[in-house]
Amino acid sequence: MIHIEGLSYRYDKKAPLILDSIDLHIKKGDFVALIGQNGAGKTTLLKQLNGLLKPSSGRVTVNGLDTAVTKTSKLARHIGYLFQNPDHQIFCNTIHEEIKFGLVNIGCSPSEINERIERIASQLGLTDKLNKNPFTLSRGERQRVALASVLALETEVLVLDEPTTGQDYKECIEIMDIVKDLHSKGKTIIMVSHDMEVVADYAQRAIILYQGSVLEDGPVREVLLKEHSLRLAGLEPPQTVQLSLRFGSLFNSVFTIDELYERVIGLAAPQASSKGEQS
Amino acid sequence: MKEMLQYVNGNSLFHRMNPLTKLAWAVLICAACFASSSHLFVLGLLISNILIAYAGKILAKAKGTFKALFILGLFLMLFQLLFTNTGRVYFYILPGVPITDDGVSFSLLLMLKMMAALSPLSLMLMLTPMNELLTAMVDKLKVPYQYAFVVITALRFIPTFSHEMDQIMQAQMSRGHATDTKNPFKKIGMVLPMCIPLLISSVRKIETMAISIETRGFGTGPRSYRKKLEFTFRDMMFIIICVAVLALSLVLR
Amino acid sequence: MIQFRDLSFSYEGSEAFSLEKINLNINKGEFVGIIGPSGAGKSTLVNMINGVIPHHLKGDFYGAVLVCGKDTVETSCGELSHHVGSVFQDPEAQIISTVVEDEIAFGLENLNFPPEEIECRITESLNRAGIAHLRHKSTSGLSGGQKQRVAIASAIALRPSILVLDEPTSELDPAGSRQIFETLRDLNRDYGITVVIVEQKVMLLSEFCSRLLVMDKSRIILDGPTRQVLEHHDKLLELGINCPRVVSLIYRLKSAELYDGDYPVDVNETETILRGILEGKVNL
Repeated sequence: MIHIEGLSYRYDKKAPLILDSIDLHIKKGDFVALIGQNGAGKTTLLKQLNGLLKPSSGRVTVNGLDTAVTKTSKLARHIGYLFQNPDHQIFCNTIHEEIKFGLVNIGCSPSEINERIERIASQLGLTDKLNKNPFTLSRGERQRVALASVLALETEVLVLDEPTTGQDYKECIEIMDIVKDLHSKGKTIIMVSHDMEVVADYAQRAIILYQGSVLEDGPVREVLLKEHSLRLAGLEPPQTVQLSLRFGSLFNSVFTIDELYERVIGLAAPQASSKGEQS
Repeated sequence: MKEMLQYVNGNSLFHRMNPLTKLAWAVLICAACFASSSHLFVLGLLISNILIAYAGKILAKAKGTFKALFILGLFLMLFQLLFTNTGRVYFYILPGVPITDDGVSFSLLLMLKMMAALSPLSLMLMLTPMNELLTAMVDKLKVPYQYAFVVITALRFIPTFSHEMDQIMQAQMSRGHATDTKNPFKKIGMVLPMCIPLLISSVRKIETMAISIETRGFGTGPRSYRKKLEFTFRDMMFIIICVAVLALSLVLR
Repeated sequence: MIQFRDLSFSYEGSEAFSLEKINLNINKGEFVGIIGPSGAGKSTLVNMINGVIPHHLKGDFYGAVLVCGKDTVETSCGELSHHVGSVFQDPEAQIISTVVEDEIAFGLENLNFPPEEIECRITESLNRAGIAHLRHKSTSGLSGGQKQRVAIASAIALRPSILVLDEPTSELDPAGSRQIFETLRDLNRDYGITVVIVEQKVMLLSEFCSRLLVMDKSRIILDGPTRQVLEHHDKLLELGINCPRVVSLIYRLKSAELYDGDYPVDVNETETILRGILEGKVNL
């Protein structure tokens, strides 16, 4: 799907390395969270995937296409990239036109275009808003419009750069639930996020980037329990993990609130443990 | 592009000079370049600009300026070359369009003038903190503060908007909008999906800036200035040299 | 220090109220957090304190807002800037100078302070904001977190007794966000500056603020000490507010009658509570 071999990147010959010999393989159907401090190279790595940035050395191939020689506008058929700020994309007078823009760019027929717009709008709850001006909507709604226009391209891979920044919690959950649903239907998701709770709740695989290199790469449960690596990379584990780690083997690496709760109940009041063990 | 107008931190001789001196330098050298018709003289001025950039330790950052002016100069050079018919003809590039010795001479001079005359302006901005320039404009040139502020702030925001523009271009490219075409004419036609987001983004930032400065007392009355800009002997000498250069250019016509 | 008396406001051109019948008192030295879903009126509320409304943003204004005894309608923004400093969401748009110390000097120059006083205050503000080492740096090379601290230093140079902030950590990473909160805590604790901050990062905010205001649909729904407000777990979830996970955990343990004390605001306190619950039952 996506193969990254020995990828290194610097802005120009004199600048320091931003990405340093990265080897990564992302399989179809993965849900990857890329985490790390600002400046670790997360967004730079994302931009390598759809050719916005080209490798200084090494190779990135997407579905067999070498990003170094393929135009971004062509890679847009394979990689849907949602930017952090929806206002960097939105420019049309109606949501309908906004979604149509990308479809025209990739050469869809008019009937295909209308069909896709209807499909996407219903998937994202925008059907009755198609004639509205996107600029009259809230930030979270605009992010949904931007997401719709990217999803309409029906790419195999969806890349999200900080999808929850600047939104309230409800809007954040709305977007992430849509992404989760897309993943369950087979989309490959690659996400950069600072929100450890979102990463813990939604991602399946986590990659920690530290100073341009991969520090950890594995199932999200395992990676988020590696407190030492997280702190080195300037990150804090989610609150549940922090708690769990303080009790060591007693809590045996519980990860979610539910698991933590059950564990405490199980230890403090075994007879009150309510999961129907006796039935 | 944005580096051409951005201040580069430093403590060189030129950094420490009075901003008015540097402004005078930019204006006088510009005038001297346009007044002169001598290739060698103008080339000499260009070299002096490069040396000043080197002395100010900003040569690396100034490369962009010189490159941009070179490209601009090249365009003008081409124009001048094609439209000058006087003098001895070397050959005909197209029927009725001769390349003459006058053409080569004028066009070369034009390019040198472009580079030598305009580079001091960019170098001056790279060597002078905006605040000092502002103080100089208000204090000595008696420009009303609000106007000086508008000019200086516009300059300060150019890199910000340039960065926003990059982000917008990348976002639209990621939707299949082929701005990464090498065709310059196609590029011009791709403007609308970029302009509107840029406009909106700019307006938002400016609104935030306006509110931010109002909450810090902007425009409430008479204003003090922290830095007293001194006019040293060095400044005086430098200006005299620049005036002498201008005089020389008029003499060496 | 800050008083809202029956305050209602709607923006020019809008019929709906952005704020409705707000009655609020904030005392000197408090560290108040304001949370709530988007569109609730949080930004509007803080813009009332610094005078941006009604002087810059116009609309229909009912009731009164008093800041340090002054009515904000009758006091200019400039005059209010002596009492209220403001920091906004966008780190880039607030900085207008190319060098950090010039940015700190900006407000002082606007209000015609003498040059010696300006120098003195620049040093003071930079120290208080913990960024003395950035004094001569170019503003364009700073990280988002550093830029926001410069914005804070620039605001406190006028020695305001109140600092209002509108989602200052929105664009920062966790490390940068925490640094901002630590700076604010120091300013509040060591210099008595009253802090009023709008935030979405409820987990982080709860660790630092002493009082929480919850807003929804132009009204204040909950108002009280942080721990007490967090007790309204279900209400907060209903409003779509990201309750700190540790609070959710303790809420459930309380419902299971395993615990009966105060809510925690951070991991340390939660650990203490859990140890208390498990004491004697498990070998810790």
